[in-house]
Amino acid sequence: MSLAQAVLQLAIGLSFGLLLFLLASGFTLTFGLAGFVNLTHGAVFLLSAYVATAFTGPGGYVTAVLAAGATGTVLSLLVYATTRLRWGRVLGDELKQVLLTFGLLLVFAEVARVRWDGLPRSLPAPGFADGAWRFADASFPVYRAFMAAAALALAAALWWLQERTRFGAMVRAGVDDRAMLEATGVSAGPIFLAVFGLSGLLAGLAAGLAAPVLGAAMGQEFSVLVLAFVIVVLGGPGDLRGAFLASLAVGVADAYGKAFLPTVAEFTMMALVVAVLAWRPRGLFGGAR
Amino acid sequence: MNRSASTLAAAGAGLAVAAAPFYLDVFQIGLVARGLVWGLVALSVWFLLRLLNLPSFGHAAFFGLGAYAAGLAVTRWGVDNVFLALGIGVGVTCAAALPIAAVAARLGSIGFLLITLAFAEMLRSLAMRWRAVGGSDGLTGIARPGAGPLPVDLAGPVTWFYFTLACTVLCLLLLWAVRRSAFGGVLVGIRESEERMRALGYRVETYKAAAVVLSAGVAAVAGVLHAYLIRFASPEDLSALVSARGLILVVLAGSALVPPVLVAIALTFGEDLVSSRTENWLALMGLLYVVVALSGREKDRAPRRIALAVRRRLDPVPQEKP
Repeated sequence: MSLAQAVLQLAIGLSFGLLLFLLASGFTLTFGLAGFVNLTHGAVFLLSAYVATAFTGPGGYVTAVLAAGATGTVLSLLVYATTRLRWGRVLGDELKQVLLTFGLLLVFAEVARVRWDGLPRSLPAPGFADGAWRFADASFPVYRAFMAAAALALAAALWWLQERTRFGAMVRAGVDDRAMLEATGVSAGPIFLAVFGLSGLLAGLAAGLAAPVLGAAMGQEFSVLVLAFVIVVLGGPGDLRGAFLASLAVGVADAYGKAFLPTVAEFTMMALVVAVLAWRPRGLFGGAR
Repeated sequence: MNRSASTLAAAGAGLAVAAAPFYLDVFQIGLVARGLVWGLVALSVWFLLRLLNLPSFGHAAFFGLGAYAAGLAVTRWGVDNVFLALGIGVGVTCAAALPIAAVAARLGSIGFLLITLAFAEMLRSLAMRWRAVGGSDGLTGIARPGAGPLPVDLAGPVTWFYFTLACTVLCLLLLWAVRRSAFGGVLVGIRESEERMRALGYRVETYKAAAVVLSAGVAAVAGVLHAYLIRFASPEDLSALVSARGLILVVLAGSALVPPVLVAIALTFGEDLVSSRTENWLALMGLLYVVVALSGREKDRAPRRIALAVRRRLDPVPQEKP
């Protein structure tokens, strides 16, 4: 492999990693805050991506991304509402959560299969970010750079929300010790609602932003979910800083694996997990439970 | 239900299963055999969940590895002995489970759940693309093998059913014996307080990893039997649906050892009924999962939470968060 190829794959991996952060941050927040294992996260991504591909007309790109974000929010709130039917029973029992969210995952995936016949669909890149940059024997699509920039901006907004606002302080307190947060008079319900909505919004926006690159296809409900899992285990639950670093690492490992070991690309991911957990058994910043 | 009544019920149900060929047709015997296979998967999940409180969402990996190993043994390497095939399947799976077990043993229950599912899905997408193992077409033509020293012909549905039943009973006895053994006692100790067991000098990670490998071996037996039953191994065997089925069976069946097998047979018949009526049976299964998760009484949650809180106050050993 040439140096240009290596650099190209690094750039592709980093842009994908930034996108993965949008997906994993919502997952890690609901997980860290409510201890809630939300397996529907991948299916929310899938349905949002399919909705985004419906807006193929000129100037439809922004609409597509926003529609994907809205879809993600609605679906995530639907999951929250279902959970809320038996909140006391589902919260604190990860087996119940897994069954509940896996069931909803199957329903969501079936909806996508019936509505779009199980066929893969794509969204054209918008006019302002079409084409590719060429250097040496490699070419980097402009859209990927735009996607990375948009994802980075959203990540920065999330960081600001989490670190600089009262809402973020409550979420962080809830991740650390929910009982203590509630004891100080903060009602956890609205925070859960907001975090579920936020997590769906981020997953939906990620699906919309990724649509020109990944498109929408059955099977994504698992493939992106697995990457989110790996990120959460590596970064530690509820830890956005850990999730950010883990996302970049997973994105780069994924890109190099797919480029240089196309058949057995998954082994690079497994090797990454094994290596990191052997070095830091409790996640990058010591939080994995 | 008291103890003797439940033992009686289990014995009766066991007899009904053993006598199945006398009152069911060939197709239904196949369904019972498939139910027994799912029962084995449920048993292997049950073992880790009930003894170590480790919820595995990745037993499809071990199930599928067993199926693929048996399939490759028959179609590529010309193995024609069921015991040899079982040996290969279990051996390959246990070897592949070692790194997964080593990683997973370091994680708490939720981390274990996430990472097992991640590993299984990675194996599935690997199997989808790897032409040497059939790619997305899987391995076809897995003919049922000879029974070695035993004077039976496994090609027939009835003999195969009894062979599956015998394997299931042996695995059940094995897990029952392990639970009663000193090893099982150490596992329960680890479940109750990992820190204390470590302080007593037990190598907690080694015990956990050994339990994961044992459980993987049982799931591999199920995989081998399934591959021979339907004469086919495919990436579907590695999918999260298999893992989810194992987990839901355990949740449905409670904490005893025999019920998962019986529930598995019942669910297999139910799935067959639903999938013959509608194409969208997966969505219906999903709704079933949701209903199971939401149903039931909200019993003893509050007392248990209070007991936990009290124990945390009294207990000088730092408890890990659940």
